[in-house]
Amino acid sequence: MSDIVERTLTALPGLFLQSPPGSGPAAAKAPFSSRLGGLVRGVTALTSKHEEEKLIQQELSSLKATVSAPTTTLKMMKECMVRLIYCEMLGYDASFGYIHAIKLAQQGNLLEKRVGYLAVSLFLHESHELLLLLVNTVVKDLQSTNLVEVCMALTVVSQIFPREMIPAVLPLIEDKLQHSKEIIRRKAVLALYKFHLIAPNQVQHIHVKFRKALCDRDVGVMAASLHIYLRMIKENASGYKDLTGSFVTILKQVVGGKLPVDFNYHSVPAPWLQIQLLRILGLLGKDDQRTSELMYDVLDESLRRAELNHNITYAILFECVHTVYSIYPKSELLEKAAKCIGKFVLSPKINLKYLGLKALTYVVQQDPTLALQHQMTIIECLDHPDPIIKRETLELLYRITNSQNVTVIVQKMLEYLHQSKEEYIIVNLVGKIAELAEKYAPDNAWFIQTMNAVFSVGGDVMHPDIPSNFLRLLAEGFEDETEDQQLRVYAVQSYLSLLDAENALIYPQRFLQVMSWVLGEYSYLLDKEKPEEVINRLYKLLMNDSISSETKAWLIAAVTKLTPQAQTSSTVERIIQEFTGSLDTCMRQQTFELKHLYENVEVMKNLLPVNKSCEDLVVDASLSFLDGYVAEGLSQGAAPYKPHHQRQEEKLSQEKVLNFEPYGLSFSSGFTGRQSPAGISLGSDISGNSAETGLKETNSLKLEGVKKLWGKQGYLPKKESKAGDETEAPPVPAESTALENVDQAVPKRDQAQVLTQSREEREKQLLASSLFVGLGSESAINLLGKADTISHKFRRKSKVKEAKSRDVASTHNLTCPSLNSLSNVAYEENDYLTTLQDRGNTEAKEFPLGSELLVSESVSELPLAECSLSAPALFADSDMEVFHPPASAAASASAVASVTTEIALASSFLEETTEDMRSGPVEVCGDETVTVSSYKLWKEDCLLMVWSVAAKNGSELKSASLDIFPAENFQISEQAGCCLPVTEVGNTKTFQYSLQMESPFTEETLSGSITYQMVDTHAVQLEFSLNLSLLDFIRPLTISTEDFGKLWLSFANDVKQNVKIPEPQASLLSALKTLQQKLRLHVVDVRGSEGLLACRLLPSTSGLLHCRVHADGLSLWFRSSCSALPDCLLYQCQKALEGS
Amino acid sequence: MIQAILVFNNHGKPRLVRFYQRFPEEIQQQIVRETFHLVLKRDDNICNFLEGGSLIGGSDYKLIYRHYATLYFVFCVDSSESELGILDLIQVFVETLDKCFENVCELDLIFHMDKVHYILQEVVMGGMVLETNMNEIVAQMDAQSRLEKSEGGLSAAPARAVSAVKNINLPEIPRNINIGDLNIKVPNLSQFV
Repeated sequence: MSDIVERTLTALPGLFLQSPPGSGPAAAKAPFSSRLGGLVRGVTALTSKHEEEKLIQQELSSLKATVSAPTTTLKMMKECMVRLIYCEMLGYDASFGYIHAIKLAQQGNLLEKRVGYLAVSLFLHESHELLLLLVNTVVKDLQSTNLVEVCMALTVVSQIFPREMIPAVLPLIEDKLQHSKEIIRRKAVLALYKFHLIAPNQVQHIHVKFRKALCDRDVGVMAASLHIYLRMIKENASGYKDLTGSFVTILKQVVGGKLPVDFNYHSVPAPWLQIQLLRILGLLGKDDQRTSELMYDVLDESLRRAELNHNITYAILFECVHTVYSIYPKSELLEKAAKCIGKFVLSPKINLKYLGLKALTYVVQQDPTLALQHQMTIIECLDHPDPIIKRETLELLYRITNSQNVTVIVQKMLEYLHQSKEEYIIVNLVGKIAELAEKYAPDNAWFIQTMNAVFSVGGDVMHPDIPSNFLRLLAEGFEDETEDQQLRVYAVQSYLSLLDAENALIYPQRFLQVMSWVLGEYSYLLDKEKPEEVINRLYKLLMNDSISSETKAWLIAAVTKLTPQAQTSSTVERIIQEFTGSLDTCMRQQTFELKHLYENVEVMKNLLPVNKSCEDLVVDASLSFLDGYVAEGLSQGAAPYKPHHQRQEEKLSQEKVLNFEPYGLSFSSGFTGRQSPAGISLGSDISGNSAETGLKETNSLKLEGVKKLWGKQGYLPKKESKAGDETEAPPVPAESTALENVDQAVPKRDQAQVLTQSREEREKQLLASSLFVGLGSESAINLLGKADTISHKFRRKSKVKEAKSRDVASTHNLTCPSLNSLSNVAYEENDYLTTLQDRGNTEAKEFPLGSELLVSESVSELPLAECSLSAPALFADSDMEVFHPPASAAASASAVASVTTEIALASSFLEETTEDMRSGPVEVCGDETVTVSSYKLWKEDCLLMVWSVAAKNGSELKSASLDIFPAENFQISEQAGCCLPVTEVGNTKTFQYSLQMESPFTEETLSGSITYQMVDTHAVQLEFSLNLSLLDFIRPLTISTEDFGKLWLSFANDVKQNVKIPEPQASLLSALKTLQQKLRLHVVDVRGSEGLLACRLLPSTSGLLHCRVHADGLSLWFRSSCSALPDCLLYQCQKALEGS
Repeated sequence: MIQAILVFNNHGKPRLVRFYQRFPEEIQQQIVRETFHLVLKRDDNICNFLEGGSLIGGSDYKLIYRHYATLYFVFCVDSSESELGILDLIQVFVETLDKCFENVCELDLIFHMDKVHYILQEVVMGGMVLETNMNEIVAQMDAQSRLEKSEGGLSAAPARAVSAVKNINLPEIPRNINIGDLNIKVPNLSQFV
């Protein structure tokens, strides 16, 4: 019991005496309070449920006596009613008081009426018979002049009202729409809405009045009418397009703060109203450009206004985003909405994160890159302690599944599935997994194993379509016959091993049914398993009591199919013995069929050929084989056969005494029975035939029944049917396991290289790269050539000629992970390099190896060369046929290993240098005696300019000074020779100045003068000038992808531009390389067709670049916190790319 | 639409149960219990939304809850409601309770169960959000309690009481409907007006 309640209960008497303010006068309340108080006190003092029950029952019986006593006044009744409500709330039946509640509502004064109505609305439901007694009271109260009574009546109508009595009150409520009090109008609108929900056809005529309510001068009434409109527009959006303008106007006024301050909630104007309106607009603008155009402005405005950091503004933002994505798209708005989603996803508040994921889920199909941007957050959410977040994440992953990430995603789903117990979650997830597995399965083994998991977990709750789709897939096969056979072999093998396991009986019935069908049809594919052994296994199942009779029918059918293949089997005989006496008529029927067939093996073999589940049976509809029999009968004087309907007609024309209807019906029902897959109870359908033909027909029909389920064309007879056996393909499972080895080996290598990142972090990134692979629209092409052609592996009968489909598939299996790992290596190397650069800027020229390792392309060249593949071929528009999978896993593994060592070498080499990047000396001015040269030193925190004045002919320089003319864009300070070990010889003099940029520019001239004096001459002044470009002040910015994402969202200034580059598909990497080298941008990440780069403008302004390759060029997208920087950077990028 | 509003304490004792969709009596009790167990499992610092239990209809329904001291306020809604909107609606409801009871506590909900229901009726009507303006709700409640007082005082003279009650109108609440400013008149609807 609640501590607080207990503690306060001791003080109860005092509490009642001093009558808490706001709870009414003590005098009126005292008896009621003390009685209810006594009850509550009694209940809370008890320790067990049992005692509570006793007390309440006692209370109820005393209440029962009180309410039915004729002396009870209405006032006492009112108090009793509250106590009854309390008892009902605790779950005890107080139905004896219902009628009294209605009476109270009918007869009481205002206060009593109120309690009566409340009790009625809590006790009864819409179809309760007593409710009819209330109708009169409601009608009376609706006509009352007292507003409170009208309000109460309207409230009760909107809570519960019998549908058939609506006409009685409808006109009254319609009248209330014109009432002078807004609260009445508002409640009337909601009551009408309730009617619209329960009986839409009864309120059709008042749609015009709804429109009037929408235009009501009171905002509350208008808001109430939006409930109705939201509902009606959801049902039929096209009917209300003409109202779009009105909704937009209303929203504009609300957003613009035209409502009285009263409507503000946390200084947001009428947030709930805004939410409703945004939902309505979203529905109206769906797939309708013209309507959508009307609302762009107001949506933009809403997005802009919702800036306050309060829950309710997020609610509005979320609806805005939803609307923006559901209406006809406008890129500007989409961009802003995407930014908002970012805010949600990255928010530390879990509620917002959840909504962010939800938003991602529905926008991800339109814009998969958005998920890419937040991939690390998504990965974190996968392991979130909150199961709701996890589920939403899985939902999101489900939407972005493709052939490359399906294994990881399905694995995550299965993990979740094993933890959850809720039935609806299992049904939902199992369906999704099955769908994904069917669509994107990478190989047979995986497919079968995943489906096994689906069947064993989903079991008997899952949708029945799942097993039948699976079996159909197995039976019909897809493009390649050998592939099909392989799949079937694998299925058979896997089921046999499952049945051998100890706990075979715990599998759900559905799974056992699937198993028995597959074993019955395809176990002949296995050479080493004798059909007898399979039959033995099935027999074991058959004898088990926990197997349902439906499953047993499937099992017997499987045994029947296997019997002709087994020469002799004692088990079959045993089965026949056991089940001919079965009490289950269906089992018995099947066993008899089996028994008769078993006696005639020849017939059986013809009847049950192997692997013919998809062949259509030839049904001789004319029964020509019986011609001889018929002729014989006719010659012996039998009456000629008349069809059923003809007989019927003749009978009817002769005498209308007997009705033959029932017989006709039984015939037709007999025929429908044949479609059951288990082929149950067919013998009863056949009547009047001789035993032999009857038997034959039974069986052929039964077979048809079995096969029809999986057949494609149903009953349509085929003209030719060859009985010739198809050649069996030898099973090739070895290859797939070899492939698996490669798969595993490569990531291991990959992990071994983790140096800088913690193991966990690395795993997450690995997971991310496996989850989000192939998300960008072109990435699949970039990394994997034409891998897309095989993405729908199990798509039935696709047009693609897939003679080599298996080849391609295996190549794909192999190349995908190894490529991943290689590119990972490459990225890591990039990181090393940039960190090294940061530590001591390296002169690229001096370290050719380093520069060669700059970009991933060159790295990938190494192992691929060993596989006799050239990197350009890989990254160009390469055809998969070029690839020849390496002979063994070892080859590729060693390739990776060799790269690793080389990288290690390179990095250790790089580490030794501490020198800064510098330009070569340039002569800026001079005369016959001296030359002045300068060079730039790109230090990490500034640009250091060094000028040196050197006397030419060995004469000594007496003094020299440097003056730099003030320039508005620079901040210049002298560095007294501390930064650079300078050789201060007699005839040279150096000056060092550090420069900082004040505001971004693309190119600026720095000019100054040098005054020198030789020993024997007077002072000479020389002027010089040199150009500084923006690039002198750009430094790489080393950040993680995640930080990039955060920064990206936080920057407001952006510039977008498309740049034409030759061979766009091939040159993302080379473009990135160019940018990295020439502009000193840091490559943060490369994902498919996109690359992320970051830089820092000295001293501390960051600039971000997102490039994406598409068909006709490279689109560059800059963002920065400084408004001028993106433009300047863009200019430099264009220059660099054009120059390359 | 709101399907149900449940308030129970930390021990799962129901304090307010209001269904807007019909469930049989015993199922209602099961729903309260199931919801309590679903909500109880959750820490205070994880998200306030969760999927409805299997009884209430599975993932098509959301449970949106807030936890105040000893009480859980749970709203069960379908997909047509905004999660964050409902979350703040709970806040509005609780703040209104606080205003009406002056520092509301669990005991107020127990001993003035009927009044809590009346307040709720002003916020949510038949599963629809009726009013979100706290002042408005409080004003409605004040009007009703004035009614109560006069009723109590006049109970000795029923005839006079009835006439007095009849004269009590709902108060004129200053809603500042400044029509010129507000202008919610919808232009292209004139033909219907």
